[in-house]
Amino acid sequence: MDKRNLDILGNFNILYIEDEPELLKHTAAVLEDFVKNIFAVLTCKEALSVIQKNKVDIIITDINLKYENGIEFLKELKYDLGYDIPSIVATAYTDTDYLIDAIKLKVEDYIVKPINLKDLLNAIHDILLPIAQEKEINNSYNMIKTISAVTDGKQVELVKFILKNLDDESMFNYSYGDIMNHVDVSKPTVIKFFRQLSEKGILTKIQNKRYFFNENNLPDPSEEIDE
Amino acid sequence: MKNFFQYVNKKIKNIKFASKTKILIFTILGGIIFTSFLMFISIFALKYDFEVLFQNHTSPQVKLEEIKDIYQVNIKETLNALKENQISNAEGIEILSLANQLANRQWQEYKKDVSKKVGGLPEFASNWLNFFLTNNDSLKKSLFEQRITDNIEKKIGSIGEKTQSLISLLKKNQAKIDIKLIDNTILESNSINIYLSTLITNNLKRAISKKEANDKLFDTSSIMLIFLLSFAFALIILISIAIINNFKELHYSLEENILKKTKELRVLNSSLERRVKREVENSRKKDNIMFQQARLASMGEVLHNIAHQWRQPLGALMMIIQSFQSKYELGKLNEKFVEDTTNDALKLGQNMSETLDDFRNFFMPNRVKQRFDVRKAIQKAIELSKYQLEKEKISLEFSSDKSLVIYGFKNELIHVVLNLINNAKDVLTSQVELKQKMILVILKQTKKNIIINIIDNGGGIKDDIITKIFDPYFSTKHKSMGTGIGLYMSKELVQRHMMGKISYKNIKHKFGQIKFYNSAMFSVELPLEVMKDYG
Repeated sequence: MDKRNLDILGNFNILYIEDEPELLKHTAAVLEDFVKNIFAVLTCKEALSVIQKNKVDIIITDINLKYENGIEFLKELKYDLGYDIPSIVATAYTDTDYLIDAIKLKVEDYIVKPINLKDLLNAIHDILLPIAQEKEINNSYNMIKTISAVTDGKQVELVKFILKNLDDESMFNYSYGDIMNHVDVSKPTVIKFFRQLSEKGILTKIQNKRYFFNENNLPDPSEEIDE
Repeated sequence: MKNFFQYVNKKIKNIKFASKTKILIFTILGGIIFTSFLMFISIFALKYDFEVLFQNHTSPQVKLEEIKDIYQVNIKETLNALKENQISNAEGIEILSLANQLANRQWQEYKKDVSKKVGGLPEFASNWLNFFLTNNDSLKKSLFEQRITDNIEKKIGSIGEKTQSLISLLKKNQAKIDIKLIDNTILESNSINIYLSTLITNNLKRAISKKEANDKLFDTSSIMLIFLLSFAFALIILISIAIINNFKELHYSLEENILKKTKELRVLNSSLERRVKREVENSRKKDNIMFQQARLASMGEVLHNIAHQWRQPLGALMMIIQSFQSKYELGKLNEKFVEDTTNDALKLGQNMSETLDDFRNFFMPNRVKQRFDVRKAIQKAIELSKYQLEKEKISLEFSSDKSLVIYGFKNELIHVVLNLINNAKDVLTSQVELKQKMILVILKQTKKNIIINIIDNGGGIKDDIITKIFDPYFSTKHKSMGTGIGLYMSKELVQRHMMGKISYKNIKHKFGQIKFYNSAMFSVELPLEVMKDYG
């Protein structure tokens, strides 16, 4: 398994339900190093109050709780109370009944007890990654929109057109005339913009009507902001 | 003769006993009836002969003698007296007419007597017997007798006429009597007397011959009777002997049979004794195996329990180890964390070790009596079944007044309590609709006993099987669940090893605050004295 970037976990809150105090304590002690907040509880009742008071991004629950059942709790949460929170179940059983219930409930993942910490972290990571990525994309989009609001709008249009029409080999196969047919800009603006990009090694002319877009030469946005 | 006996014996053997008796009775009856019949016949025949002899041959002789006297004395004497004029005419007339009349009447009576028949049963018997004896009646009236009788009649007639004419002459009082007529009459009366004498003689002769026939008849019937009686006797004796022989044989064969059967019985008895011994041994072995099985079964349950009890701290320990790695990688491994976490890990390890000790102590074949706290023993049993109870969501409550130290087999008591809790657990598990599943363990002390009550709200036991619950191999549970020896073993342990009692009752019991449940209650009663004696 490739090494995952566990840094993304740092922005999330985790709810951990386990009826065995020792295990709860030590697992929570490890998990707290990776996540923003860990809510470690012994019962479903406590868990519910945590959910009602805090933003919970992921639930990890033992199936076989004292006088309770983790899957039943998740069901109640999802269908009766309307919470749609991704969840991982932990079980000492490889009992098919539980698994079928878990699949029906569309539980995101499960881990087998005794808990392997790496497996647990990976499972959490795999569930949280799309959420983190979505957040990232959202951020970038907002950033572009912000930039376009304060700089020349035409340049942003041009960047959009170039990125949209890159082929599989990151090649841009358009002449200035073709560009002007699609984007409402003047020829000098296009020439100036292409020269600027060429100077920074971002867009390199290979031959006529053929340019290579070098992703690697893009400056780091954070650094740029810092500047 | 011997062959005949054998033949009869053989025949008789084949006849049923009842038939044999019937044959004997019929033979005796037939003999008696036939003999009596013959006797009666003979008696009647003799009676007939006697009657005939008397009536026809004896009593008529008297009449003939009288007639003879009349002629001899009255007529002859009177005529002689008339001839010599010794009597008067009138007297002569009177005597003569009287004599005539008398003679006539007597003669008629004689004839009547002679011709009289005896008749009736005796004659029939005599004829019947004569027919058998082929004794023809040779005594029919002979011609000779007939002629004599005829002559006597003629003579009576002529004498009558002559005396009649004499009487008429005397009446005419003719002094001179016809002497010739008188003489003639005397002659006639003489001759009639001769005839009469002849008849008498003849009759006597016939009587004599009749007597001879009678003798012959008597002899014959006597011989016949004797013969018949002896025949009947012989037959009876023969059959009796045959039957007795048969009895004897039957008796011997029965005796032989009895001897044989007795011998067989004796052999059977001795082998039975051996077999009983062997079976008792077998059953003891079986019991031992059963106990072993029950032990293994509860061992399995406890093992299951311990596995679970181990799994939890094991999971925690593994997490602790991983946490060290994780903290180290993140550079957060400081002294405090190492100290705290190591302490936790050691506690967990200690706990696991204790669990193992419990298990080992409980299943060590330790048959030594020891002092122990009953309350702690019960708590141990509850501990050992905790996991199963939690799994089935059964809550268990234990209440006791105080700790009771007694002297006895600790492990066995734990075993019994464990069995009873398991039993309650199994019942409650099968009650799917029951919302609150509860077990109550109550420890009490009375003056003489320690009482442990184990109550569950699983509805109790049906009346029809209540008496069987302590029987070996009796189980209401599905085969996969129960071996049917848990309660039996508990009973054996309590009764034999602890000298106590185990009993069962269906009760209504209040669980929690309000609700009364139909409940099952097992009570274990242990006598304090026995347990303390060795203390």
